[in-house]
Amino acid sequence: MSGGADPSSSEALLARLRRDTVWAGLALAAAALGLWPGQPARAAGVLGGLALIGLSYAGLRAGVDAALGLRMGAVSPAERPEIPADSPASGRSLGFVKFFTRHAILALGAYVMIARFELHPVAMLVGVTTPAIAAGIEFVRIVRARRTGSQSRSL
Amino acid sequence: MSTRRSFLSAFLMLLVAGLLSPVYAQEAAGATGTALVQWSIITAGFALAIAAAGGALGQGRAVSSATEAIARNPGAAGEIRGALILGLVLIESLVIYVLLISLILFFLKPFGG
Repeated sequence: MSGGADPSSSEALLARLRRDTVWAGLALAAAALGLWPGQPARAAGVLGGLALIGLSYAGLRAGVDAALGLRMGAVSPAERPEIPADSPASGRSLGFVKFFTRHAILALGAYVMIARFELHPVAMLVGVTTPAIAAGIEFVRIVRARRTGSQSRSL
Repeated sequence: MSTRRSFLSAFLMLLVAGLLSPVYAQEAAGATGTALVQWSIITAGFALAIAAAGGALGQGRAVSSATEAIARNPGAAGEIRGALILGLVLIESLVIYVLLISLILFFLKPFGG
């Protein structure tokens, strides 16, 4: 992360990561469906893993935004970063509820998917890996942008 | 926002419906589990406990460092927030791996039983 106090850059980073995660999950689900056409539980497992990590992300983000909103009460308005409009600035308590109950919801969701819906467990693990794939894509993107920037400066 | 909320509501309703439905793969109670099955269940419990402890330590350190950084430089809170959320999600994904593996050992019993 480069220095500076630009909240929109972090929001843009998170938006790119969200988008890459969803695309990676959909691509992996499509690949699973293409490789094993007779077993849709594998593709559904990837999507189930994606849903689990999405729930986790939503809970973490709500909690961090709520906590940040609490902290920002002690900071002068000029130094206060903009918290995105869709964050629970008005419903801070709901953000904390989401944060602290996320593990229970995750455990319930994972149990239902594995034991009741019988989604493929390894495919679910692959679905949970998608944020790491998105982070890898973002890392490559940053390295390439820096390389391009340094080349253009040297010219 | 409303789309996200309706998607979340539909997802939670699906989970509840799945919870209320009968267990499809339930087999007749046969012989008692072998020692391997028993040990795999014990291992799953310990693995989940260790993963939760490790994840909690990692997330605690991340939050501690982030709050310290925001206290030093409140103007950078926006950037720190993004890095914090990304780090927490990556740590959390490791805990979810172990949760899934534990659930596989608990309910699917890959070693028989």
